Amino acid sequence: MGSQSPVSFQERVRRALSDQRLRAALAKASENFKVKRTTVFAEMDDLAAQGLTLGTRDQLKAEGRRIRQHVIDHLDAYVKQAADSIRSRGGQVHYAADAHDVGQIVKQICAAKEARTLVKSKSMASEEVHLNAVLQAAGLNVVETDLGEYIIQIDGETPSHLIVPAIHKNKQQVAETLSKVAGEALPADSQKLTAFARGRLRELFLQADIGISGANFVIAETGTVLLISNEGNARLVTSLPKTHIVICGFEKIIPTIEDAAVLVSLLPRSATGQKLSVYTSLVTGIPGPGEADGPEELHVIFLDNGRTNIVGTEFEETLYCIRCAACLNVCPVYRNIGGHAYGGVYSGPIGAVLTPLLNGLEEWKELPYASSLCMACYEACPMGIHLHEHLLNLRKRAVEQRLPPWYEKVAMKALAWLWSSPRRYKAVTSLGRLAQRLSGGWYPPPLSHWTRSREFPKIAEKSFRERWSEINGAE
Amino acid sequence: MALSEQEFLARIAARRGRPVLQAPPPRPGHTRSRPVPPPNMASREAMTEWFMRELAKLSGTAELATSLDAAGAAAAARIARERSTGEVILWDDPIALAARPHLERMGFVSRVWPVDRRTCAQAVAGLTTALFGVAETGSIALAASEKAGRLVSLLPPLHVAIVPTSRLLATAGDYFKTLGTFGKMPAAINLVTGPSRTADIELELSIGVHGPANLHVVLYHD
Repeated sequence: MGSQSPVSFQERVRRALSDQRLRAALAKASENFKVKRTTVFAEMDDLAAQGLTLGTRDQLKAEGRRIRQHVIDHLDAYVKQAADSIRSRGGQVHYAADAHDVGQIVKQICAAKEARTLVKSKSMASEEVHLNAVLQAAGLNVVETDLGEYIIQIDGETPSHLIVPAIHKNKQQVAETLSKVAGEALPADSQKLTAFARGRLRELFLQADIGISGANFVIAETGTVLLISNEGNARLVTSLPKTHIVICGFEKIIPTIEDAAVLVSLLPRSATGQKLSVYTSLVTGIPGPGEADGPEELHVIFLDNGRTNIVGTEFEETLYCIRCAACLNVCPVYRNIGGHAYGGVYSGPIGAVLTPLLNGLEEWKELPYASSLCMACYEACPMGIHLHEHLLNLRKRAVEQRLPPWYEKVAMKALAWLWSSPRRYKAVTSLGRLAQRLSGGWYPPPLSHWTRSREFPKIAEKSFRERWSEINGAE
Repeated sequence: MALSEQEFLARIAARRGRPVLQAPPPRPGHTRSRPVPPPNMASREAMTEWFMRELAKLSGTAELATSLDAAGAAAAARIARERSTGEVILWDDPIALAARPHLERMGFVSRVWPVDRRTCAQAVAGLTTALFGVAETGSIALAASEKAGRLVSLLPPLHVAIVPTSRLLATAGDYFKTLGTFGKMPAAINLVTGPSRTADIELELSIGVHGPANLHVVLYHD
């Protein structure tokens, strides 16, 4: 799936950049998250100095990375262990190679349960495979219950931020959206709009046949699904409907509950600057005999969708990602263009790397260029993923696959020939100097694309070689 | 149609150029850590104070009662501040049930879990007992069982939890490490850190989205 939208990357960026309201919202949100994250980690470092918590940010980051690396190095073994643990607690495990498989598996479960209404809490893996569209086409009623996701689902939009999916909408726009559902005009007041959504969704929760969630982590040793949410919708999704389906990338596994101590200490702090989100839910199998609530059936779908192709490559550490979105909030490119311009499900630096890796570089070759390579993403990443290197490596790959335009290839070949001999190099610089003097700062296309927003550096009056020979008095 | 487990695992192993690993190998230098109470947080008073301070930062409220019975009375009094009549759902647990006589005396109808979901959704409040409290984050841990329904702390607009201070842990790390010592995980255990919240509309904080808007914790020294 993951095919490009009909609008080109350049056009998506242009639209985002000309949307002043979007840019103001992005600036506010990303700055807000960035400041909160820095503050909450500083507090953790203080506590660590007093021996009052697990460790400093750097210590936990190193430990978290070790945990994720160990899992990714032995993914087959951990998938097997997780599956065995889930089954031992009465759950069922399914394996999906791609979007089509996920759709088939979920539709089969729906058919078996004669389900009509499904409530969903956030699952990026299901976004990846565009599950809602598949289920709606099959006549099923699927409702997103995270407030932001609910709002954008009504308008048929995709998330523009991993953590705040409706960041591109202001109160007025949210009020217009929810008014369509209400059948009356709702005020542009965030408390009142939230209360409306709560009432609306509560009724759906009570009726829903199936709940679908993602997983922040799956604990291999116990078969536990770990879910983090602030609103409580993940708890409702996993408590009220009689069937619970978990859809997650198979790389989300961690070995033990103790490992969750490290990763949960990092995730909300990196994501929203909270020490913990409001609800950290651990769901293990189906309820025991006599338990009056909780699902009777649990299905866990491990999704591949291109992940296996990353295993064993130089990009492997991108599978350590815990989807905190810290890299989005610090990225100067994301902060200006927002999530939709990236065109894929994941945005920001991690999206610029993951989308081409999961969906094919051919179609997504512009994305690795949506970066200034300032390394702020690497600094912010709680798993220490070298995002800037992966962006460069993807650019290299794009070049090797001859994906750049023909004139760039011809120009590069010509340059390589001209600069490979000192005489030719000297001739080119002299010629360039002359041309620059004559043109008076005007450049023909395609150079003018580059100089529209940049100063072309003036070629020095005398080259280094010339000055060197003057000082040394000899050629 | 979907892959079998063997096919799925074989695809991953093939990328490594080896057969499928049957079990995860030991982790070099890794020892299973156990929770150790931090040296200067040993006193229960200090942990209680820390817990209450942290929860207050999250728009939750907490108070310290002198005994279990006083805790039950305090829980009932908190519910009475919300509404003067109605149904309150309680976990079938000696600590939560300490509030029952006080609730009845105040004119509330107390219903002990299990109750059906609609009854639970219409209740004034849900009353539970925390398995642990976490001081660092002001969190309470709620484990589900046949006597302790998930919905009690989730559907009513007010959730009151009673926590003996002997159950306080210093950090969230200690919480996960303690769970690691459990032979068997409960089917559901939730670490609750403040009332339900969202900032999905223009990053403005709204309290009480899907979960309770009000969270009150009554602690007592046991």
